[in-house]
Amino acid sequence: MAGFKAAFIIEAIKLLKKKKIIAAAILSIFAVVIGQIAVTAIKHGLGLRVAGSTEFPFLVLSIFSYTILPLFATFVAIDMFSGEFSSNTMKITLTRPVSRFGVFSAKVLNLALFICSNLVFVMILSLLAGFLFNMSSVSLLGFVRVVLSYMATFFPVFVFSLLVVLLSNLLRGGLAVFFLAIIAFIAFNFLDIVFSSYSSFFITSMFDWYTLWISESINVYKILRQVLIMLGCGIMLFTAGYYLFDRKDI
Amino acid sequence: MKLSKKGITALSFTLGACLFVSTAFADTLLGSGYDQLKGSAKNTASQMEKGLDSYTIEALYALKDNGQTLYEESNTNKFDAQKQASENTSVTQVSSGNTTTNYSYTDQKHSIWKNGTDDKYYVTEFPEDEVRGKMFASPFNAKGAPEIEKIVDALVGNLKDYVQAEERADGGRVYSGSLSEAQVPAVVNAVSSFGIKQMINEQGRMQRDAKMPEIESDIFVKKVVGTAAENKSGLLENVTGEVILSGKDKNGTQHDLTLNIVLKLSNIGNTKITMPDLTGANVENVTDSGGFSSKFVGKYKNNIITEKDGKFIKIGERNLEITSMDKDKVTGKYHETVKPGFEAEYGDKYNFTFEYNPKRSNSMSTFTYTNSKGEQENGQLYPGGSGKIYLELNIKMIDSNSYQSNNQQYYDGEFSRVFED
Repeated sequence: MAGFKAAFIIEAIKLLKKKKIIAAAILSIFAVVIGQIAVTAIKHGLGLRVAGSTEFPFLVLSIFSYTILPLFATFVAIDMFSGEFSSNTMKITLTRPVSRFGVFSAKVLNLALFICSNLVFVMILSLLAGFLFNMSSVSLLGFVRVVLSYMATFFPVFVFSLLVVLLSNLLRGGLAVFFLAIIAFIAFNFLDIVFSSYSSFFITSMFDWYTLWISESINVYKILRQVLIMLGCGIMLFTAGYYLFDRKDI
Repeated sequence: MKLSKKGITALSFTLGACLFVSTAFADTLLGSGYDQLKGSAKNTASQMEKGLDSYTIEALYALKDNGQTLYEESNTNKFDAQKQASENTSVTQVSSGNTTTNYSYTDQKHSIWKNGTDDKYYVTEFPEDEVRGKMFASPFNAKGAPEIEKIVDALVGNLKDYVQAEERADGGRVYSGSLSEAQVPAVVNAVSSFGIKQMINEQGRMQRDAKMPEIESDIFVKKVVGTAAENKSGLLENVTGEVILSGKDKNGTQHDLTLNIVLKLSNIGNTKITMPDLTGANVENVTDSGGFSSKFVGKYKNNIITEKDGKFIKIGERNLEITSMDKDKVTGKYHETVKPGFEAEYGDKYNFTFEYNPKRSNSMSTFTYTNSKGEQENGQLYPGGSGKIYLELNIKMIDSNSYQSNNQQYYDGEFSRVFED
């Protein structure tokens, strides 16, 4: 798969050249700094310890996984597909000696890489902030839990971004895809509240599934079911996205 | 056989869809331990409301600071649906070691109450025809409960799976769950820590003898543990909960505040309630006329105040006289006097006699009187402590539970007793 490797590297370089990466990094730093300021202010003002050193990354994750991360994953996914189609640079990509499947999977893999690196970036930042401000409450178990939950959060967010990939292959305009993705995100969250017993059908309800990984008694069957749901949903969205990408006329 | 590209696409899409839908359905059907626990809590509450003949509920609350008891309360409630009787004994112990015992008994005709400080039974007798409220009302049937339930469900989110259900050999079930510091959501942690901190501060002010630690910094919820046991008929029999809150006082000493809650449902169907034997006991009969008793007969007055040139001035007096006080019947007179020169400013004066029949069943009972124009208006009368009476005039009933009052300016409704030396 020499062609795939080349396509992957090209996509990665294209992604790195985007200003959005810098925007995502800056916003992530902001989120961590503001979070730490809030926690410190509450600690000194009200005397409450909202988050210790290893709890701070969880606090950041619970907000980050519902805001900046899915938002930027959506931006990147739209840029990769709708953006290239509308600026007609997709032609250049597709005329290379790589199959369309190769191009599609290279793009999706880069999307995954982006989500992953954004998570790792925020994890390191928040761990550092947590350690710096709360030296007293450091534990190895806490550290392992942080790494585990950031890793776990990757999967539901990736599945959600596959949905955005599908949408951006379905519709032409990038703006329309963006709004549709936002509406889908809000609708899933809303439906999750109204039909809480059917929450397994809404992928956004799994954005906080990392809580399952860090519980005292790990519920293996529940985790397995969630994994299967995400796997099924992921396969479905990936194939549908590829089907549309494959049939698209340039 | 070689599958076409289209074939592979269709196959993998179908496979993914099947996997997704079937597991999601299975997940929905299996539910979580939280859902099962909620179901049995609902069932227990509705059975307690109607269905069970008699039962005993024991509740125990204990608050400890680093293992030292600060406050302990045990409550025993007995209910008998057939006799419409209930009995309640509660014992409270504070950190100084003082214990107080309260006892109460209620059936269709009597309400008996005794507190720990004076060895006296207070007895109230009810008229027989009165319809009494339910002894126990399920909180799940309260107004707005389904909406609150939805919000709570959404907030709990994936923490639902922290509740583990385990089948017992005798057909019952045991639920258990625990949350440690990292798992308690930050918002819940902050709000509950703050609430408990406020509560502790308030308690410390109210009870000087309570040795509440003055926790000031680094407050957080350290651990939340809970268990619940369900018997084979689906009733929750034993519920325990423990919350540990940690913090430091101003000297930097670490304090672990532990709140323990134990709830037990027992003696289902064979709880016996007997009325306490009052022969030879110290008994005080409390009349049932909205808190009024014969000691309220007498004269009361309230000043008519107005503001003029930046000063409060008295322009007259409102006079209330309670002439007689019988069971369920209060009669009296009311008139207003205004100093000459202020009559035009004050407007119409009231001067009437009234008869008031307070009813226990209706907290909003009123009396009617005629104003100076000959119109009928409604008023309300409440007894107050230390010889005071509260009177509200010219009120409009909106429905059986609410009213609108049209008070004059600077009228507080408080009438002080006029004592003749």
